[in-house]
Amino acid sequence: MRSSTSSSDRRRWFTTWLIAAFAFALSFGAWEAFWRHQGFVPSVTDDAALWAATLRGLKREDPEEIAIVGSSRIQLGINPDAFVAATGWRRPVQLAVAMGPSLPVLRHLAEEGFRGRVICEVNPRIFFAEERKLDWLIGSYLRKYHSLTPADIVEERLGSAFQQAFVTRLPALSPRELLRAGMAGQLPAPEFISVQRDRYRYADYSHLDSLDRRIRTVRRLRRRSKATFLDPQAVERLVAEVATLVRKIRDRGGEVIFVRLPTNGHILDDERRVVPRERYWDALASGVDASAIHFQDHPELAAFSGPDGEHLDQRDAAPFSRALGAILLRELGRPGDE
Amino acid sequence: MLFNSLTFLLFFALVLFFHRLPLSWRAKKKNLLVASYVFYAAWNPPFVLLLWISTLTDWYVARGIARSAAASRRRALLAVSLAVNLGLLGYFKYAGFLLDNLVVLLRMVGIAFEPAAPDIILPLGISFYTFQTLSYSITVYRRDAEPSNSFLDYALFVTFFPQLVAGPIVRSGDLLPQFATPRQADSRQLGWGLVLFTFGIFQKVVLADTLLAPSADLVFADAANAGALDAWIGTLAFSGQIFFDFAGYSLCAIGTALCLGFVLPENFHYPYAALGFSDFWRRWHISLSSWLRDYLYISLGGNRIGVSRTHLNLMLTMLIGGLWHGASWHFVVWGGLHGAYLVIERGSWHFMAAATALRGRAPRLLAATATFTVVSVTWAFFRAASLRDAAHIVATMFDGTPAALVDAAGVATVSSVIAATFAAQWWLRDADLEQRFTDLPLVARGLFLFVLLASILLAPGDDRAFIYFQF
Repeated sequence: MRSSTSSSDRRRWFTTWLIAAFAFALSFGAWEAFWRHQGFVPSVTDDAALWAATLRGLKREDPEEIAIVGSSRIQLGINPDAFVAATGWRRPVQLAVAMGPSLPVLRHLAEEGFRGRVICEVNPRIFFAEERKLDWLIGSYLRKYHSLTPADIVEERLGSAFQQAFVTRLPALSPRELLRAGMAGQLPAPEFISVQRDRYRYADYSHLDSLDRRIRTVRRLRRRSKATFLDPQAVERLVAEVATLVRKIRDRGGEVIFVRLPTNGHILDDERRVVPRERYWDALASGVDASAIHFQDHPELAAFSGPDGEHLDQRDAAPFSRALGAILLRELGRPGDE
Repeated sequence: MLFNSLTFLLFFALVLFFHRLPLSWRAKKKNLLVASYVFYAAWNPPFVLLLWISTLTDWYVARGIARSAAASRRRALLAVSLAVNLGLLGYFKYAGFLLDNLVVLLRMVGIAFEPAAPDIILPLGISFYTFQTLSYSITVYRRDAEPSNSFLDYALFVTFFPQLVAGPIVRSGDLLPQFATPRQADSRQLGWGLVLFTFGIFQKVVLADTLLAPSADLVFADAANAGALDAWIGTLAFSGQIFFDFAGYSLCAIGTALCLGFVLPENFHYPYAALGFSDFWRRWHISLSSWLRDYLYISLGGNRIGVSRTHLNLMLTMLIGGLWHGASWHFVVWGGLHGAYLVIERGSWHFMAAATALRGRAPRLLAATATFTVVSVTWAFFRAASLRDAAHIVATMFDGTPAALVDAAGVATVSSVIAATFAAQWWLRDADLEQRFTDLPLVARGLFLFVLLASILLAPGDDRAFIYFQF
């Protein structure tokens, strides 16, 4: 009697979970297929944990290691495969952060014994801003890096592997967004940017039907912005600090390359007005013992323009990376070359 | 390691696999012990040392107490356990709080003292495991139980990962005997354990984090600008959030242990359907409230010394219970308010007894609604960043200021979840959840689980830690 009860119990529990698992697998597959058919592609959440784990993977002692620091411009602008093919260098570790200043990361690398090459993107509105408002962002990312637990590292790996495989947990498909879109009588639109596990971003501006609205918003925000920029003395102090950081890395055998990525249209007009090249970029380029590549000095780079004025489309990122790679190769050669 | 993480799922799958291998019982217990240390070390490896200190102290103290006939020596040994465990807790949890208050006191008498801010990390679960090991020594001291003969069993009792960092706080008498004989979950335990785990994750990820936390965060982050409706919605949202967060954790812990063949005590029994405050504390965080009752309230004299002393003991127990939750005055006030409710309830015992003796559902429902409302309003003192914010939120509830923070969708979400929660707890208040579940037809059971799993998958994960991790 007892064994018969136990056996029926086993059957009942097995069936319960079988029904749940079958319904779950079926609906998950259908859900995933439907949204992929709508144009959604998997994307990893680019947060402090992913950044911290990426920084943790950087081999500080290795002279062939390459780190990219900067803002979203270089996160979207570099296609690592094209860059590697053009330079023969190692695949760069992507440490740029959207809206993030490059200086705190450069400072971290200089002070933490980095011996490789740093490609430091200079977004003049951020790099030369008087108020270091955005430094808190990198500060929070560095705090995450310093407090990264073994569980965080495993979770980040498992989580980003899942996110890279499925679209189901994209923020645009969260219940709240689905509800919002449903109330507006439409389906959610696919994101135009996807992030890979190595933190490179790919922008497909053909997905962005509201590009004009986005450009207008950025322009309005910039116009309203009360940001002020460093005066000549402050620029001098900043350049002196950067020069010290560069020296620290060079003394260990490393290199720093400053890069100004292409901007165009209203973004370039705005930059010319508030952070003119002569007063800011040129001061930096002449004040540090490092290569400095401005897109306006290289027609092959100046030929690229971003649909929104500052970010390259994924179709442009590969040829741009090859062009930039060729220039870097000319300037620096392969690691170990004298 | 959070229960609501992929890391835990992987970890638990491995633990379960090793636990079901045909190994000796001793080897399986060693596996569980190692797994428990890995579980704890995954957060911050050096703090495993604290676990060892607590484990070793109470192991030797309890053995010393059991061997000794002299009352003074037994007392001295118990004092060692109290000093070590409460010393660790005091240093890591209350040092900053004590220092802040010392600075304020000195300033009041005209002494300017500006010490460097102490940079102390609160070890995960220290409030839970110190209470658990303390209970072991006190139990032996009171001669309620003999000390364990097996250090392996005892170390596993202190460290057992399902309940290590946020309870339930298990008594040695409940868990040590389970380690004595080989255990492996049967199909009922495995099936029901997985249901409990899934339901716990659903409560945490979907109900607490996705539906309720955003409104609570919005209101309490900007308490000064909250209107009356904001204050109610924010407070009710937190009332639901903290229940689903902590009860969800407890269900995960109980479910995980059950999958391994161990039974942990229930920690929540539909507290929002309580009829009065003593009933609430018999249903909310049962393992802590019974710990405080058995080891603090009764040690203070309980209700054996007279009415005034009983009230004083109740107040002291609840004030310390409040402080247990966190080193801040607003937790003390929260505990004090609950102490006052218990004293008032006890004072009007005859009236309450007459009211609850009414057989009709209406008076009981009224009592439950009133209890839930007062308990929820009191959560404002628990959640607010400061006493001033808490007082402002509570005052705003009754001043009719127009809402400024929560939108219509937030109001609709919170009110419907809270209404459903209250109704469900009222419906289930005397029920056995497992019985209710197994009474369902098979397809309904399967589809219920499917809905839970699908909701968990779709809920946006924002990596919120469990609220009770900070205690």
